Amino acid sequence: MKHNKLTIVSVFGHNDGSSAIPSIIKSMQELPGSRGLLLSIKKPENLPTSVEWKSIYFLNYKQYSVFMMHALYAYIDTEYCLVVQDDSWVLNGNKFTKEFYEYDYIGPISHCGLRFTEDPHVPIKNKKENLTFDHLYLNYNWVKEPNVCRPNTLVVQNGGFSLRSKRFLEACNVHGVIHTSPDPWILKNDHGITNQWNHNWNEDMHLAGILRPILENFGYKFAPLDIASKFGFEYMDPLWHTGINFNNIIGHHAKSRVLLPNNVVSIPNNTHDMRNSTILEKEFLNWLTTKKGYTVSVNTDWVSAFSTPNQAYNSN
Amino acid sequence: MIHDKLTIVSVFGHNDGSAAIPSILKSMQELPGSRGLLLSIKKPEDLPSEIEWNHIYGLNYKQYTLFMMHSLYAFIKTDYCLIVQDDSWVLNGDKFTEEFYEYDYIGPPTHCGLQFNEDASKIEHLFLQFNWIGKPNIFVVQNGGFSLRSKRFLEACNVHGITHTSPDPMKLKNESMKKAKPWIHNWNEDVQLSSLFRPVLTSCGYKFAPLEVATRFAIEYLDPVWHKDINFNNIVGHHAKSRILLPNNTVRIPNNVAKVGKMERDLISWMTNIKGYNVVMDKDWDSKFGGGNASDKTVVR
Repeated sequence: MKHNKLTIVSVFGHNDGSSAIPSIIKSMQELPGSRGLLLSIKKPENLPTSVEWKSIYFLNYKQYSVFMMHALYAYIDTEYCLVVQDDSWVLNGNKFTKEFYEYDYIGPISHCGLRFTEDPHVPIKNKKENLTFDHLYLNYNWVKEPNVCRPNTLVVQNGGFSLRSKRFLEACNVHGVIHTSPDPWILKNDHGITNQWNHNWNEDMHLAGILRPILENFGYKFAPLDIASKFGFEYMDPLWHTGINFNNIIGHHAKSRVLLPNNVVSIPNNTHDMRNSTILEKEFLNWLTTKKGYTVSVNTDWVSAFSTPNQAYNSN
Repeated sequence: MIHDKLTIVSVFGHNDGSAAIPSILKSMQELPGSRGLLLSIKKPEDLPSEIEWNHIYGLNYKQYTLFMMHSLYAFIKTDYCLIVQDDSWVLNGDKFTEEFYEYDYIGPPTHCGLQFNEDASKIEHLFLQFNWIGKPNIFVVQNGGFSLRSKRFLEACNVHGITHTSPDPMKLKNESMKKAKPWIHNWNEDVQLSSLFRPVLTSCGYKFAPLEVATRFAIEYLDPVWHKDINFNNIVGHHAKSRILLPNNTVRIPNNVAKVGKMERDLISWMTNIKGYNVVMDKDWDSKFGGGNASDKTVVR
């Protein structure tokens, strides 16, 4: 299959973005016909000629989200783009079928889900405009049982490895749907301990969670959970991902797996601490080496925090 | 002069925007050939047919700025737009000459100016209450609430990857203050566009009106030094929250007009005697006339 309506793009607002080159190149190889594009504050000296480069201005953590929601459209000349990073790339390009191009947004399902006060999937015109959410599930607590999501919940689909249509890239601008610039949410666990959670600022939290009902109302199509699960994964959950066949997944995104040149995957030194995900993560790393020919390199200086807050947000 | 490449637009993200109808209509009358456009969350029932309306979603204070910087372009079909609000409109349309269309951004000079270092890479100082007068390396904020912008300028931030900085409030402090005060207006689109990002946008080829042209374009609050030679007959428009246009050429002002300077009283008198506006005082409205919320005049960042 030729992917000549697809741009594989990576956005680095804090450096030259050279660390994303392996992911862009690998993904281009896996998806023949696709273009490669790097947006960063400075052109990397080692940029391959097959990857186009465009200048953007400095982006901090917050600005990255605003850029992705409101400005990325201006850089994409194809009908679709696939967002990749140094820690997200295409694993099995042959599984990227036409079916995925039927959606305006697809990303790997994340551990994070927003529960709405009514069913956010009901396609009734204008009903969704005032939908509110009242609960945030973290650590895959949105999984009710294997393959079943809790009611009225939209699972955030990760933006760091996501397919978006060009019309979706401009959707927020043309409909006047604006990043909410929120203060961090206060999370509270069962013991009454509170914690600030600032990921509500993130573009994927906005697009695939907070603003999804509004965007669906305008006709933009988000992949359902089963399609998103086939598209990619982030961290894996035993209830949701047990039995996953890595040969059938298009790609992945997790900060604990960074692609270096020469098919080397750099991982932290504490993968055994990945709580519930440990077994699946080990299976995946084994698959990367034995089936796909990657070399896994443990970075002994890199103690990554795998766990996410165990609390939940309740807007009430 | 016909203004057929101009849209007069008002953006209301918190209600139906009907309050802006008098300003849009008045400005359209003053600038023949211009279009009128209201963007709001709900169409006003009394919207005149000559004003187009487009729906936008709810915008809070912060989101308004993001909308203006990143999204407004999608709603403007003409080469230029003039932003108006219920408290900003065109006073003398005949003074809107071709010259103004040479710029990508013009707004009335405000009391607020940011001082940059020599190569314009870093902010050194924030001046309020017109204390920027006479200081070097200043970019005076040109008010966005009554501003002319080219269509290409509306999309400039997007196409060049210049993104709203989402800043925390600036800490303001001078020698007489024991504790720094937060100044939240660095979030505002006009501070971002006409000051913080002005060096970058200028380097990308966008033209900002110089102070002299901006001063002829419009006024916000009046300063006795900066505006000492002003002739109200010669400025295009104004913007100040203490002057609100109601239907039937009525301007509503706060009840403390006696406390304001002579220049503001002169303006109100000119509006009544020369332009035929009816001025009414809002007895319940004890608004401050001065700009800025810092009580001290010179504020050091």
